[in-house]
Amino acid sequence: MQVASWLSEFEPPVQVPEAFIEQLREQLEATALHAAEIVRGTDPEQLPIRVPKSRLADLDCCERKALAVYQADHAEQSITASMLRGVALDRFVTYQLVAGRVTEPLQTCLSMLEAEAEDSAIAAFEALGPEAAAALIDPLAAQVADAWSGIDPAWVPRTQSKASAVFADGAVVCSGIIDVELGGPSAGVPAVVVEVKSGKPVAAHQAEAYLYGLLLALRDGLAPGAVARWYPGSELAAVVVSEGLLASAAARLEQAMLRWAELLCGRTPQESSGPWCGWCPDNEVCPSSRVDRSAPAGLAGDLEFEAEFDPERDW
Amino acid sequence: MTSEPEPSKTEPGKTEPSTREEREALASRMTERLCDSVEQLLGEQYRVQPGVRPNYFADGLVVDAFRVTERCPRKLAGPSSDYRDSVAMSRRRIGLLAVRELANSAGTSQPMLVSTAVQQVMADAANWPISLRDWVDSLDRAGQAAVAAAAITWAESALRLVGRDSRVKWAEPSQKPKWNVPGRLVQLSASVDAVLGGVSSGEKLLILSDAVPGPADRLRAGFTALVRTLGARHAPLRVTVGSPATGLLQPIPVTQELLELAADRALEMIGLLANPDSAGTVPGKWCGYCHLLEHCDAGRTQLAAGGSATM
Repeated sequence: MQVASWLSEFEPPVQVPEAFIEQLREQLEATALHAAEIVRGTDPEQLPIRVPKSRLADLDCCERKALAVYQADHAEQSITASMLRGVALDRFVTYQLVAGRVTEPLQTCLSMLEAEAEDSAIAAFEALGPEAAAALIDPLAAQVADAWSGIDPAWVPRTQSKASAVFADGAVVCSGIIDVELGGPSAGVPAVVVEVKSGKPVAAHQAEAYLYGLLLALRDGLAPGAVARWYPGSELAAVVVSEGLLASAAARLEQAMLRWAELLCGRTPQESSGPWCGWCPDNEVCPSSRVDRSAPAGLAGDLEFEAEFDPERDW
Repeated sequence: MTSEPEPSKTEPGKTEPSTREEREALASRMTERLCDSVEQLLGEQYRVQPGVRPNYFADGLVVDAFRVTERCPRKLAGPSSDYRDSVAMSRRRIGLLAVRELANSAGTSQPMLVSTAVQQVMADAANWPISLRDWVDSLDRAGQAAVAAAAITWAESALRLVGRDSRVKWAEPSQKPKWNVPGRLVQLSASVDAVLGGVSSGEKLLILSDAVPGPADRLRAGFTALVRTLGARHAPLRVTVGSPATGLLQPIPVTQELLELAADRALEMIGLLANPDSAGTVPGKWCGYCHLLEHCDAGRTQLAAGGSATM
């Protein structure tokens, strides 16, 4: 189903009471104060505690990976082909919403990246070569046009919209960048959050969408109507925002605040092996690593555990 | 984020002036203080030559709000990173033009959409700052779409935070508050997104921040208030730091104490910019993003010791 059709049929759910959102805020604040206290008492230089979506996802997988990713030199992080697919997909959705159908996918993507001064992504496309780059991203443009055309402008689509929550007087920060935000208080309809994903669906994406629902609720004092994920070639996977959804997102965030505070203060990270080990900076030294070194390069099948290209990772 | 605690009514300098006369008197005191301090600080350096039109950027010192919260003196005083036009550097300016367009259209039967306002603004760049117009003109359709999308998001988030209120005067992006130190090649420059009220009732300035709220906001607000105070010869009532990403508005009353804090920082910055060789280093997490890292032993040591590039 096209996003436009979904939106036109969207029935706003019963609004989550503002008092419930405030209650969650207080609960998060209390946990954040505790987390900040842990860090302040041991290594105050580590403040503020930052728990963006990527860190929550890493912590869900493996504490050691979360710490290793944090300590890795981002400048040396390479941009892989699957990251480039994600980069292109975000740009195509943006273009479709503002200027209509993408007719020259690679050139459109490169021009948008040039305007954004995203030199590292441009260099990665150039390294891939025009034919391989086109093969990688051309199919996405048609899929975006199929899904994202015809959206009523009254939904006021916004792309790369920021939503953050600050607790404990700035000692704990959770930040996110929402791929597409539609509706909201100024449009007179409940907001809808859509995360655009180029990989295959995994549970972590759902948790990420719930987190954005929570961040939006805290930002606006009003819960969005739905949080959704869109994968090229698939229908919109939307979930109505309820008290339960927000509470589960808040509980995950609270847990991450405390775990990350302890890790920053030197607690030995727990190692949990899994398909994500292939993308862990410590995978060559970690005794729990589950990387199959005999597997041919490039055939690793769990791309969903790869970090997204996110230059503003911890803004 | 909570607003500031109610200041004591008995402590001079900690309460905002309540009348126009008091706001003007405060401006007068701050002007005198800055002029005297710059005189002592710079001596014969950076004097305006009689008969020569001052060029603050080429020959002088421009102390702008972007640098006010810079923690490392060397980074502050060092050569600036090469400025480059980009979506991130233009979205605010085009977003501001769009919300001004919306304000102009207010009262019509159908409220204009933000996306429409951005389209209208981008279709007629005649009154834009020249450098911005030239850059956007140089982009192809896709580049311009990236700019338009970012401007729509910026404008919508600003309006979500502030509301569509006809009393709010959104800033013309090319007109920044400035103050030139009399007789000196020194300019203070700030940036304001909107103003509420006027000179007689007292101005309330709004600055929108991409960063999450934090302790640096007070200094940033103070510096903005200082530049406005000196340039307009009256102190604003307060500066509100708005954070669209968090939905928080932090009102900071403009008191003599706040202006003194900002003046101290402004003088420190002038001293560092005038004598960059005297600037020491304060390594920290910020080293990972510093354009001087290649030439900074302290920064490289910091990062090698495990200081993360994340901030």
